[in-house]
Amino acid sequence: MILTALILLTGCWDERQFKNISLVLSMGFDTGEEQAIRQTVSIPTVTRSSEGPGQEFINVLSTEAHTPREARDKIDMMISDNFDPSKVRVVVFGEELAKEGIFPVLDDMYRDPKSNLNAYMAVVEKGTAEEITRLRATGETRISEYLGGMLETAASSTHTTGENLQLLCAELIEPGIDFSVPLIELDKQNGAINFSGMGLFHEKTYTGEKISAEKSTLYMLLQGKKGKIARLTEKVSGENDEITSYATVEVNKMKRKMKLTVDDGVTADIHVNLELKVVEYPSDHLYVKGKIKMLEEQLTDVFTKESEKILTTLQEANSDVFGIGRRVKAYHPDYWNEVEWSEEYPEIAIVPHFDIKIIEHGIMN
Amino acid sequence: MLMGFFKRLFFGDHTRLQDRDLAHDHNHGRKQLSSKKLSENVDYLLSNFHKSNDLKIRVLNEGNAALLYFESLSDQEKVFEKIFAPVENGQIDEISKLRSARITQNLEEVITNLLGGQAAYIEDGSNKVHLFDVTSCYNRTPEEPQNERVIRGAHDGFIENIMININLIRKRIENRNLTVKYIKLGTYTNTNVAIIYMDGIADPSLVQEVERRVSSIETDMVHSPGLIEEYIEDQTNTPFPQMLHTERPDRVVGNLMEGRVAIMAEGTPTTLIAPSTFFMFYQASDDYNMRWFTGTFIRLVRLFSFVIAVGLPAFYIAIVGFHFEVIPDELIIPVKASINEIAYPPIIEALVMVVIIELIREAGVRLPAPIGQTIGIVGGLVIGDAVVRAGLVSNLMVIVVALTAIASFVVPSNELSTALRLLTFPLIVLAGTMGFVGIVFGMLIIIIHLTKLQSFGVPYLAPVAPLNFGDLKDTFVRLPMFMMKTRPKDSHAIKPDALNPVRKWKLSDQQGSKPNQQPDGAEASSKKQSDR
Amino acid sequence: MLSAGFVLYFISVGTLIIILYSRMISLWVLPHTPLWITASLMILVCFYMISGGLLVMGRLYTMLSVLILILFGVILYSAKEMNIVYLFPILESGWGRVFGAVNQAFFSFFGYIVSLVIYSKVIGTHKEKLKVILYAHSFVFLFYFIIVFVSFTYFSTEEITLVPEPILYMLKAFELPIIARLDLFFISIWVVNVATTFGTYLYMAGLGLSHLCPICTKTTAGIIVGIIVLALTLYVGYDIQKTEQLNQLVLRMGYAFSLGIPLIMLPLSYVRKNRYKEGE
Repeated sequence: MILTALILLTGCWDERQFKNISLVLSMGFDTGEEQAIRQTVSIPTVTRSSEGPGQEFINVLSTEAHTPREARDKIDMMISDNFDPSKVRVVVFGEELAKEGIFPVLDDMYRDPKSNLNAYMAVVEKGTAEEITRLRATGETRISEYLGGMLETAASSTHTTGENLQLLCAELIEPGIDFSVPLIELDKQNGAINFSGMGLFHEKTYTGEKISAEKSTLYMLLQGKKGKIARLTEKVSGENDEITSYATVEVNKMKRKMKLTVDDGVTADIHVNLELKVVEYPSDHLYVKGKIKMLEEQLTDVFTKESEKILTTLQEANSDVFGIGRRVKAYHPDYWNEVEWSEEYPEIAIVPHFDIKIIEHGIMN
Repeated sequence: MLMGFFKRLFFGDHTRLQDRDLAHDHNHGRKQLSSKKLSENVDYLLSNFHKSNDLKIRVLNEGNAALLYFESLSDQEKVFEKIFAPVENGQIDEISKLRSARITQNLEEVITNLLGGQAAYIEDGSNKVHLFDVTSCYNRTPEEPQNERVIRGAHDGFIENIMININLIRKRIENRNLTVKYIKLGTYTNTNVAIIYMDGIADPSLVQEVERRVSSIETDMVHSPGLIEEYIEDQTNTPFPQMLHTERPDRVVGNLMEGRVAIMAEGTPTTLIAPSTFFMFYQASDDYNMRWFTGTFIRLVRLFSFVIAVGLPAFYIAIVGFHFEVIPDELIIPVKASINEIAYPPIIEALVMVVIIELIREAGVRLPAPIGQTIGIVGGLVIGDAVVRAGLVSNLMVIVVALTAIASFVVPSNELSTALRLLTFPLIVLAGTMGFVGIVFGMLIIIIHLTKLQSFGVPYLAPVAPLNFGDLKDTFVRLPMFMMKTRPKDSHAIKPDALNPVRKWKLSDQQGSKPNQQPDGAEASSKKQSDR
Repeated sequence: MLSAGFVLYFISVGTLIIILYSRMISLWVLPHTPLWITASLMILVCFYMISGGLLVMGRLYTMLSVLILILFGVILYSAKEMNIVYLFPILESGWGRVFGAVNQAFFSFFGYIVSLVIYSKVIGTHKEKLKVILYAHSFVFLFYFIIVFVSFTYFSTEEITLVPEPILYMLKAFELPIIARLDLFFISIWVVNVATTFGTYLYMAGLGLSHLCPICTKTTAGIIVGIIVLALTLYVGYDIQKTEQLNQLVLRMGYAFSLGIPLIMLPLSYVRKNRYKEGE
């Protein structure tokens, strides 16, 4: 009897037929002209063919609404199937909207049990998310795949943190921790998208400051994050800008520690221990005694200087990416209660210390 | 019985030994004494056989004697050889003096024996009936059973003759403790049923229980082991078989040595084994002929096939109908492409495809081999391909259903394989109603059901529920034989040890000049360590 | 009288379990499926489970406990993203809050009353039984500890207050190469654990009821309890306030029946025992 009841009841309540669903794989949010938000989504449609993959069409739709959820409902009315964002891979924000704050926009994503919190987030530098979402890059069919793949490689080559929406949420809400989000840029000439650095956030808004793509690897190392590969190219000697004055090293092993001292003000010492492998050093002669030592010293010097620049940028942007504030709160709660952290942070001293060891230099001396 | 013999010997209890014959046991005192008149005797027999035409009566000695036999049951050659040849050769004067004859005065007994293929010689003026064994047998050779083939190992199988079957077992266990008990079943068919067990290993209460259940069967006929199984199994309202069916002597022997009981019936090669557990259906003789690594691997594959066979279509339906979020990013577009333009909801697709597979299978089974193959090709390839091209069923669904069918055929036991395919349906429906939650409830019900089942007082899911770590050695894995020191607990064997250290040679190799000085127990443990 | 109280207690605990489970299912997996379906399906399955008696339940639970290991593994997998800083500062808001939370969490340990009831039907020495209870509770403690630890280090201090089901929320973002959305699998396995828990309470309530009314067999008692639980569940529904009231009620009853009565009974049983001896 129960069985017959179940048969009669199949598909009564929660069934969402996969075939009746329009998968939204990437979403873009901008500030709207009349209403608060302009949402752009790209929906791929595939037609079946009995052999091999079918043809793929991409439908890009934009709409303006007061909230993302309203926009979603509006878009739903424009398409034949059901709008479903549960497989979103990339969420892109326009620069302007990011400066206004991203949390209100993401609230819907965080609240929906079916949403994909494993999605990446990116901010468009000098442009709108709509342009990016509408881009038809050559060779890449879907913008979600293009962007997602790009951000993934950026994470594995230690350019971005590779944080998804879920991990960002913790830093978004928590006082005393800020975060940075990959910046992308439309390259109109090539019809491509560029990774242009890490955009710094203060609390819930984009500050407009960034760490450029070249420096972002060092920036990641300072954060204590290392992807599969971390490669750094630095100018180590000579005034004239020759190819021989550069060295490229790969990080084999990394250890990073942060020490806080709180008396009158806060001092944060960041110790980074690096074991490096030289992959490119055109001036050669590494076999000469003391040459490696020299290179180590030069690198330490360069890294420290570069890091200081990065840290200054961070403090100017008032973006506490290292979570120094949260540590102060955790270990020195009295001090935390005394000060207003966002005013305190730009004033504190953050000192980078590098300890560098070259352990390998390829198959050639 | 042996005791009885000595008793008779020593204490002079000189009651005469009787031939042990099933006919005696069975006639239950029904007796019709023969008369001295030949015609009366013959008339009685003839009327009892309703003047059946194949009862041959040869009148001898100018009408003073008669030889009766069923020509359909007796071998003409044997009749000549056993009865006429000695007389003709002059070894003996009369047929009645042949020593090979069994003599009786009970006509009812004569009837049973005639039905058993014997010939009866009756003389006028004597109430003695001489019975000669002239039974003819038409047996096929004990070939390997088609449904339980192995790659390595014994290639013989049971046939339809119970005597030859028991012979196959006795040849493998030359031991006095192998005990066979006959019970005649079926008031009309008089089918010979044998209960076989190892005395001293099998639990006597289990043997008694099997005997009690078998002998309590009162029916007109017993023509297949399926009937006996249904008469004596614990729980009939279940898709799961509670007795193992096998046609392989080596499998029966293995189970007998574990302390189980085998039930055989005349006229069928299938042997029932009780008690059986769920995991026994996943063991095959092959496992024990392979290296233990491969054996374990194959067995794990087989057990995994259980999950696939029961759950894969349901899982697929739950995914495409409810939780497509679980499809990883790379796969989502291909999956979507393949099901995008299918007209029917996936649950209908699945049900249709599963039914089609059953149709193909059923059509193939009954047909002769060459046509069966054609059906397989037409059904599998042509229909499968056409159905996908026509857009009725997605190619993913075809993959899923085909995988399920293959997985269900992996089970070495045919009964269980059918049960598994049957269980797919309710799970599909549950998955179509409530997605993953429905599947979980369905699986839970199946597991509860399995836990509740018992086979002759043994929990069906032993040794997993109740959990017995020691017996897992031959359940999910097949550990090397030297580690299988004890018999599984679920057979309730009264002699738990199965083997003494079998790799003793290794120990003496290592000790060199010091041959076995250790007591047995210590030896076993040290051997275990050295083997690790 | 006392057993009537116990039956009531078990029924209310069972109802609470069913309500919490249905709410979870409706929130996370099946938002449109009506309450009576999820609730009655669970009750039916559990009824089938207990109809086999204590022995079958024991065997089943042993087998199903393997699933806890899977849950364990999944949780430990997600521990890779933890951030110890989020735990600090410890004791920020004082011991008062800690004890308040302990009060809430105590519910999970009231389960030991189950062993008091069930062990009257189990063969074994007192020492063995005590050992089993001890092991069980240390396991429960360990399990909870790990869950709490992982979820508090994964989510930031502010975020954890916003997330009512941290483990599920955490698993939502994990993606394995073969499957994404681990939370759906986690919740499916968790349903089995709910079934075993509810089955136990259903069994005990049925047991108590069959003692109380002489005409009830265990089966009919089980059916009656099941219907009562279903009715109560449908009455409370997804109403958050009523659920909270029920929660408080169960908590108080829990203190009374799991702590109060056994503590009162202990000296009483000593007195009785002595009197019994004197009488001899």
